[in-house]
Amino acid sequence: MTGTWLTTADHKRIGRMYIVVALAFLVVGGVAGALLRAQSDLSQLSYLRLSDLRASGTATLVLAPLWVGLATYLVPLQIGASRLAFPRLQSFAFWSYALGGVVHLLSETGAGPRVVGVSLRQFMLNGAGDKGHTDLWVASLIVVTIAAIAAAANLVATVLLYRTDGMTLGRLPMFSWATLVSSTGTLLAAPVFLAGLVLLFIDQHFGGHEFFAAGTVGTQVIWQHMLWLYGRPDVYLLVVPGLGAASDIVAHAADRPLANLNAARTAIAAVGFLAFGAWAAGTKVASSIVLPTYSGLTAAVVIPLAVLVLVWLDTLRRAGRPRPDVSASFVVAFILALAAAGLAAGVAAIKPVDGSAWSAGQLDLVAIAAPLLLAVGALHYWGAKLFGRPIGAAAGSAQLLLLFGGSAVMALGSYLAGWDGQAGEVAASDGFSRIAEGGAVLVLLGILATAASVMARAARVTASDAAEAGLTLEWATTSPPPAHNFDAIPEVRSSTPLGDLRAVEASA
Amino acid sequence: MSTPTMLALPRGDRGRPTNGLSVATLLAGVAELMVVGALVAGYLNVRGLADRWPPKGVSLDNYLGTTLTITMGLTIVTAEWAVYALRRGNRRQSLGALTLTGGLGLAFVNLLWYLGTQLHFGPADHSYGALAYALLIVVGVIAVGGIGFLIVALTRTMGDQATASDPSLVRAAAWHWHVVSAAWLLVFTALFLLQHR
Repeated sequence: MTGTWLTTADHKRIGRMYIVVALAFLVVGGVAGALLRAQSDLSQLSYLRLSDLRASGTATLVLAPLWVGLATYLVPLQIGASRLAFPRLQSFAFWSYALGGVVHLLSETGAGPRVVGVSLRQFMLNGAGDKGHTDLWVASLIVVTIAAIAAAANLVATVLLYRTDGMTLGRLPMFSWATLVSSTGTLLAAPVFLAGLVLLFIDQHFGGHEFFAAGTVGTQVIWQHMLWLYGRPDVYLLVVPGLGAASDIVAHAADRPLANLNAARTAIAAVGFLAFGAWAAGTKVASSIVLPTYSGLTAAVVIPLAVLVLVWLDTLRRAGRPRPDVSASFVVAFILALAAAGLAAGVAAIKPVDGSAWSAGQLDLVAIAAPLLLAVGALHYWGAKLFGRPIGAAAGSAQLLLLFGGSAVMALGSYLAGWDGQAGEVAASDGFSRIAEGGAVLVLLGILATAASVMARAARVTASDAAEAGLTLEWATTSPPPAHNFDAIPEVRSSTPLGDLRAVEASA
Repeated sequence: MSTPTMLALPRGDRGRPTNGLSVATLLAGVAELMVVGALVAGYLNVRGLADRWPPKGVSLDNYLGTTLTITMGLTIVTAEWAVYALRRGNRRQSLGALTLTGGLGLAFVNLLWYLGTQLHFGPADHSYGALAYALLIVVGVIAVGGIGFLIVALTRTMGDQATASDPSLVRAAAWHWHVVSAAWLLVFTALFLLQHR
């Protein structure tokens, strides 16, 4: 049995393994986040280490792999394929990610690495850390990044090569379309980060101390370029698959195709494209690379997001009475989180809050909470497909309350603390920080509840013949699907082949 | 609700796409060139910021760089020869061309290693050192991967798994080798042609 899991080339098993491991890392990140908020007497070094674990860990080890796991499981089903283009490559990517992630966590133990946080703003803080841990830290990130590139390439190849007859790119389900967009972005952005990590490894392993230290030629400018060429797009690319999943969830809730499919597709592609315009963010270390286009291009992302939300609302309006669905509630929470972040950005224009706790709150809300809400919503939407039975509406509602409520409270505390002038990278114990701590505890409870319910389902996957009234091809087979995925595939003449099929049934 | 597959049409057997390897090679090539491109961009960035470039006492041997480029240029021809010969059904010539390409690839890696031993600075000496070593190591790793791909293509051609009717493996190996060539040309341009400011 163990051997089967170790050597499997079944995209469904690999996808489930991705999801379970990503959730395990999410628990670690959630504990780090709660410790960060609850321990006001943390040293600066411990604070920054935990901060790194929460921020970079959540992005690199949780959100991106969670989407890769869902895409690994669902994309072949949505496009009517029986397999991924390169199944063993995905297996390689998964095990590289899992082992690299564990080594990355281990590198943070003991003396720890000489670097604190991938932004390297606190490089070699007071001589802390040692060479061995630094090597592990960098090498593990190299392995995880190579895994991300391999998985992204595989997903792109699968969508391009393995679509069933009639499934043109214009008829791709929205989640598969979004996966194509985000994987292409990852394929272009992640190698830049990899190049930066190679430089960092060479510099650190061979005894170089001056390359990234302040005052030498080049210094951190190269690192800032390479990190942000990956990091900035990555923040957007983590949301893109969620936008696709949310579009499928909305269409399912409305029981009809999206009101304006082309606008939705273009909007998702535009978010992926504009992600690359937002890289030249101002940094404390290398202010010389701030580009005048940064603010405009960052703000421009609001336009496609607004278009997409309008398409969703129009779809629901046309549906009349949408069917109640806990996954749709997560989409609503996502929209509210985006609206709150937009409001906060507007308020921030009144008073400079860059680098304060305000910015930290904004980052929590936009880069972590929003995509996490969509990811958990997607797990609920496809829960029955993944595990044979749904995760459960009651559990979903509780998780939604904890994750969304906690994120809102945490962000509010950070906003207020930032408005009060508190710096973003210090442990504090004022009243506003206490509010943020309370929110962090709620988020942690939400994470634990989500991880527990998903892992319980994953531990005992049961076959079910019950067909969901979905519109896309993944619902045209049993839950979970057989090894070959489909016995027969409905004819594809639109983006919602099962909706077409039901219309034929109804008219007959 | 009834299972929708009841009304489904039988699944047509589409088989495996024949261009899978080509697409995979293209995607891998894009990623590899992005890594090298990012390092070259970093090199040019620091070059523009430095007071003196290259640092005092640093000079790369143009003779070695040119020899490496000529070697790589030859492999572009031999790799295409392998594809051309296989497509025309000349398996023996294709095997010879693949062997020659792999051999020249090994010579390239060997010469690259020698170039590394001739550098009179370390990766930790200055920014230039770290960047130069990073560029050479990355292009070396990509070249070794390319040689591995050529060996796979060679052995499969020997086993009649790559034929005139299905030359996709040899075609993909040749394309990947062109990516190695492009990566080296980027490195050569940065380290040798743009050596002095």
